[in-house]
Amino acid sequence: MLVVKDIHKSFGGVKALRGVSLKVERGSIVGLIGPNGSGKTTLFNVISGFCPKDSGQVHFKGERIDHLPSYEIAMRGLSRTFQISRAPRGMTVLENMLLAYKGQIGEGVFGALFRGGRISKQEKVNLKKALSILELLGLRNSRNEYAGDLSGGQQRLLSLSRILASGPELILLDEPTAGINLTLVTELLRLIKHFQVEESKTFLIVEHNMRVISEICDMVCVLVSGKDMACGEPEKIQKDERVLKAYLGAVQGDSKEDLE
Amino acid sequence: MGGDWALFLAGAVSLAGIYVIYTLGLNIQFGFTGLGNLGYVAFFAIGAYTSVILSMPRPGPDVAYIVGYGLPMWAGMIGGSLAAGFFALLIGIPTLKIGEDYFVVVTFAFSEVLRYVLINEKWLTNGTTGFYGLERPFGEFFSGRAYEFFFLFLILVAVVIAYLVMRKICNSPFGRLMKGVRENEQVCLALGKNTYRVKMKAFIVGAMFAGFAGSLYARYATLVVPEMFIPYFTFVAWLSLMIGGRGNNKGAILGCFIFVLADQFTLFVQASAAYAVKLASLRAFIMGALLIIVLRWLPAGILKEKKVTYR
Repeated sequence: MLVVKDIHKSFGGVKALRGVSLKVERGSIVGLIGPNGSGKTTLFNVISGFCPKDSGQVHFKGERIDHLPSYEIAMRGLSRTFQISRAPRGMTVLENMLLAYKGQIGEGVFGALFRGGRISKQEKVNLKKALSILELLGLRNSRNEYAGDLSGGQQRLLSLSRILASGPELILLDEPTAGINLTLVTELLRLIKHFQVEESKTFLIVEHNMRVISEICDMVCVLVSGKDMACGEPEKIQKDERVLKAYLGAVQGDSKEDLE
Repeated sequence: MGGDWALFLAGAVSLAGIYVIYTLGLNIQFGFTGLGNLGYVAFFAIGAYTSVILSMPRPGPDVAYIVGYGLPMWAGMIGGSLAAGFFALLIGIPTLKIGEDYFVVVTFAFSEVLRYVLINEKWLTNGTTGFYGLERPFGEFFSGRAYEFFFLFLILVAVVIAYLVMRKICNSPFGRLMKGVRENEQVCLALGKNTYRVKMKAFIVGAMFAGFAGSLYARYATLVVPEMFIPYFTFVAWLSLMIGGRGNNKGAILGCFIFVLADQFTLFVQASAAYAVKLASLRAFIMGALLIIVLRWLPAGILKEKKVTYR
């Protein structure tokens, strides 16, 4: 579904990505791990069009997308969340959700002025869909709260629900469990699995938490200093000598137990 | 005496009404979309000048300017509004894609450059003399005194229409999208929204409101000169919006009336000539104090942005 070929990207003298290649099959959950500064988020930015690459190619559903602006990529069904959850704070949870739907008639000035009837019909349908997603993610009771008033964990859930509302096929999650308590992590994993199985969504997840990786990922790719080092099933990757060395060697104080 | 007060009041409310239309336009740009337009007066000026030039009779041989199209006044007003929107498009193309800071600087510079164009391009604008003694809409049907009240009526009709149009735009999915862009552009991009186009539309609609207000202002003042369009006028809208409440169209209306009240109240005070100057400078003081008080205790303005709730 997603094919990344030999991506290079530098910021000034820093070579953030040095020839990364990666494949994500339709309907799978792929984990992307690597030490801090290995280029995971940069890779996300390049794939989602938020940051231009220096060279290389990105194909999505057989179409080359690396020259497209970010909103065009999102329109084609590839959406992402951000590492720091950036909720539109001054809008309520439901406004956040309704914002996400694609193809809204009322999103232009003329539509807004002259198509009131069709807009309210569409709003009703979207509202119903939004409420059912919020129900699933346990945010229904906060639907009229400002997004900025939610807790950090809830904001992460909101960013996931918002992305889901926009109806993507491939979802890029940037550290979805960072700063979230364990119960919520379990819940989040259940949801990701649910959307993979029930709605055949595909996920690419940047994650540091090994539990997350081994529990839900079908494949894991390891990124080290801007290069893809290994890709494979989680069990295999956890035993890969090179990965252990690179990953543990780079992060001081981390113990091997974390990986197992 | 009583009649004079009524006349004065009619004038003041007409002015406030024109400011309302003007400020509603800044509200869609800044209040909803977060575009810090510091050259907002430029679009007011373009509207005023274009409407006057379009509906002026062809000039004789003894004047400096060579244009004048003799169109009906309403056509001039529509033209003024469209011209302001067109210039917003031109300014928006290079500035809305780059950062917000640049947008602020470029708009401010544009308004000042435009004022010098108005002063220097005499063939078009008649220079610092400008155009004066302008006709007013339906002026031939009313005597001088009754006309002021009729003009007030016209302005109020325009204000109601402008408010209803703006409310409809802001309460729609487009309004939500503008707020999304203001709150977090990156999230909107990740949701597949072309944020550049959203900003452009808000910028153009706001400029068209400013242009329309400008064309009304020309008729209110019965003249246009470059000196009317100094940066101070940008801050008339900003002050009204910050005091009344940004992101809230009713707040914009309230802010304009408070502004005109604070600006004109000194005229009510009977004072000797020696004090008149001091009273005039008191206006700026009152305005500044008002802004500080509002921002200290009501940082979102007197009327906060309305929370959109669903059952």
